[in-house]
Amino acid sequence: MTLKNILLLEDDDIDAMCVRRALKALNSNCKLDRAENGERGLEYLQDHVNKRPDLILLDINMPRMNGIEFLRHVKNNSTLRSIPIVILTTSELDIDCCSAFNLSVAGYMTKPIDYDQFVTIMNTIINYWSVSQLVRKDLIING
Amino acid sequence: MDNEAQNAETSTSIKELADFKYALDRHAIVAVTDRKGGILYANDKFCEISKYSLDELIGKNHRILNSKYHSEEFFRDLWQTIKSGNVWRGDIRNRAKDGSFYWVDTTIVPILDEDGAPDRYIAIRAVISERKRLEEENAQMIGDLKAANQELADFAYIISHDLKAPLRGISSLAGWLVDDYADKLDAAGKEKLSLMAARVARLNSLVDGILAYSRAGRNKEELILVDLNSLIRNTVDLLAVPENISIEISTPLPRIIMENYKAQQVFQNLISNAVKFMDKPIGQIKISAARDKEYWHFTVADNGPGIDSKYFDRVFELFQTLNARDVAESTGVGLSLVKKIIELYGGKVWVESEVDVKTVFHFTLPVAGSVMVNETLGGGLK
Repeated sequence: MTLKNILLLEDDDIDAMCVRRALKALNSNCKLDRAENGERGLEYLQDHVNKRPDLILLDINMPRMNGIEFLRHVKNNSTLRSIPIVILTTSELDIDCCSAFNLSVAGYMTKPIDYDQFVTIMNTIINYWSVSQLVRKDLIING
Repeated sequence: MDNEAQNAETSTSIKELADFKYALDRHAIVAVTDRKGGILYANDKFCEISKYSLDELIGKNHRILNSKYHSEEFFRDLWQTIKSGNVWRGDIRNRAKDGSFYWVDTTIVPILDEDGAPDRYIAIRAVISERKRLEEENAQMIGDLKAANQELADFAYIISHDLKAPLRGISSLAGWLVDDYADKLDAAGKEKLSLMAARVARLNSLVDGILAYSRAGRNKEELILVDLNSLIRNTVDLLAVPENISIEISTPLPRIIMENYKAQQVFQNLISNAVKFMDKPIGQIKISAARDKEYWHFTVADNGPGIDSKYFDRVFELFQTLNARDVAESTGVGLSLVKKIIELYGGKVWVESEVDVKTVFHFTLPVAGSVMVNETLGGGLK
């Protein structure tokens, strides 16, 4: 099972470049789509033209709708709720980590200053989610 | 006993009581009221403080002194207590004849009749207006301090995000330039980019250092019994000390009550400094502790380059480094953080040194391990 589509929510262009570059360095065939903020992210998810992402990488600090709000919207939506979300962010603060896990994120990674370390982190994320089972899109989770 | 002896005894008792009353009248406002609060007796001090004359008080209900500060419930509770024969103690704000207010520390004692029901009440009051004023001022200051603390916490939050993001960007870009344009860049070009990346790393350490320093006073962690021996061992492991430097605990270290993270920061900074500046082929770092009355006296000694005595105070100042920052990657925050933490715990820190021979950092921590930071400050992110 490989990851085919990743949706990245990231407002910083260079951070987004980092993710793209890291994926290339890891020889991943994964398709990466990017939204600049929570609002755009929701639009993307609700547009039927777009394939449903296998994984969402979410930055918490974004303008307009920030990461936590986006998270809330997605987890309240019965079709979208089952997509795993991994937080990729600068914030090491517990308060953000807590809110994120309280909203059922699958993982929380802090972005290192060092790009090479970042690649290692991305590698771990890709590997994990390639192995872990993903929910089929036609399954709607209730509750 | 015959009449004469009895009379003598009675006179003595009366004299003693009169003495008591005299002394009491010097200190306290004294009043006697009937069952409903009507004033039966008031001493001179009562008149002096309330600014009413005795005539204006006798027969009136004590309610004339009500300053509308306390709630209905407050007085209901007071009356309930004394009506059931119990003593009531509390602070009351009263209103003097001229409309001014005064606070009194009040004790009301019910005097019971033969059936055990309160017949009258004796109230003894001490004026505490000044103390109350100070209490209010204090509360105000604490409120201001809490607000300032919160602002600082918010500020620190912003710094940790908004400063670090562009730093990350610059660092990544510098690396990518080298990777992607390696064939187009000569050695000088690559050198410049690597200097850029190093500057960014330093800036990042500085931001971390400032955050740690500002957090040290605000974050309150759990106080636990810290085993310093194992703490040092862990710290040394984390520091990746080079082979030629030995770190020795020369006397067994005590267990003290402290916030674990702060204890770590103290030793980590001192030890890493000793390692970083070591200039001898065989480096020796020794850590010891000795009991000095109610303090533990710790030393962290090294055989490194030493510090000139004229810099003994300066090394503890924020952002002060003794070498140009390029020579030894140093943010100048470490020692000031150590000083801040030690002083938070009521201890002292100082240095003694001989240039080219050795440096010894001394610090004390109280044995009781009590945190002297005002408990009411709280605040911070944690």
